[in-house]
Amino acid sequence: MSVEQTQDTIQAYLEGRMSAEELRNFEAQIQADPALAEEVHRCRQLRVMTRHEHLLQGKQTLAAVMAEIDITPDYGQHRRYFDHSSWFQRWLPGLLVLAALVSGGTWYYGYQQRQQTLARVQSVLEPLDNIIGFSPDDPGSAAAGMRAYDQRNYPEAIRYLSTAAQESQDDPSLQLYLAVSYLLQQEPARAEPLLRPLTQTDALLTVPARWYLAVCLLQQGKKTEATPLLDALEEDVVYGEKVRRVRG
Amino acid sequence: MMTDRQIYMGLRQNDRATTEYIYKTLAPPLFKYVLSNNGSREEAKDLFQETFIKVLKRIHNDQYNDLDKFEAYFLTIARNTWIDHLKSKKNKVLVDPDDQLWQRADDSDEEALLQLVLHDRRMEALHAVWETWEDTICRRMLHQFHYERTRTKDIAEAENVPQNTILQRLFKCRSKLFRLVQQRLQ
Repeated sequence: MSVEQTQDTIQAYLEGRMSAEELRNFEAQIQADPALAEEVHRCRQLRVMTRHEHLLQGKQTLAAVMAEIDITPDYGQHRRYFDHSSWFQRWLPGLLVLAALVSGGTWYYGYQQRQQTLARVQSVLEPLDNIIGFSPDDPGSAAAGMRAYDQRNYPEAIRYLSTAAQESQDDPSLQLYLAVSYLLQQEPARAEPLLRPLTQTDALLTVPARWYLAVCLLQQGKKTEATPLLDALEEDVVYGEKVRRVRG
Repeated sequence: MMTDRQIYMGLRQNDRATTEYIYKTLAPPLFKYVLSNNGSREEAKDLFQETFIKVLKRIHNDQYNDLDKFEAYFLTIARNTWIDHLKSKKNKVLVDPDDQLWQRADDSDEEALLQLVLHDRRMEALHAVWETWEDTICRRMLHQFHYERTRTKDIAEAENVPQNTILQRLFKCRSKLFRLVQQRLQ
């Protein structure tokens, strides 16, 4: 069969309308006949070109337009279509600001709470009554310290009572008054090591020592540590009312 | 300003004013994007052309239905095409311009088809000759056979001539056309 006679066969081949056997035979013919192979290739080119003529025409029109118009690069209103960043990247600055606001707000709220507690603590912080008897002309530093304490001269009281407490370390009452003097001087860190052992010792001093230790801890912002001490004092005849006032 | 519907219809009809409008409106952001991403002006033009052909193909294949968002549709395709281009830039394999490319395009391989439409000299020459070919009888017959897929027997019946005559004419017309293509390529 001449190449001219194979037109419909080529078309059937290109359109996939052949059985497996016909396909095998025809491909063998193409392999053996360069003229037929060339004709098949031409038919394929014409098929592809005519089926996509609209694209070639569009390309031609566009080429003519592109040759005439000079473009000035500018995003204009269209920048958003070229944003490569992910959702997370786009929102990261906003998330950071939000996190900063939340943590700042939390900190400020906590700070306000601490200030309010401190103000309440200050309002109930009073000196412990002097229950140690000294005559007015007693020469010892303990007596001098307690005189200063009674006069509310706490720096002076601290000076004498420190010496007296060192001289008689087995007297817990001097430790307690020294600690209270420190508290009234707003030096809770110094009062704390004096008060802690007292909460475990003399029963007479245990209750006031617990109260002042609780105050001392609250002054330092150690609310969690102070809570069990305040709980224990909630029903106390002397300190119960103060505890409730501190807790607001 | 053109509506999306007007753009859609204009592109279907290969309307020059529509093409001009799209180029004037969408080329500036696309050029800016390419130049801002280490691309050249030539690459920007190629990208616009490739995007345009892709969109055109989808419109003709009825794959573009969202008539309200042409601008977003076009620029998203452009952006994705550019990202693919950057990814494949280092190890780009040029397609061998032989019969395989045509075969792949004939088998609906979009990449091969784009390669032919955008860059193949033989396709360009074939189309250019075809567009200006004055032998309208040959042109009509080849169109009937290759595009409309009319069988030679049916063409012969319609023309009231023997089928053999049609077979010979088709062969001669095709030979004539490809001689002109060959001349153009030389």
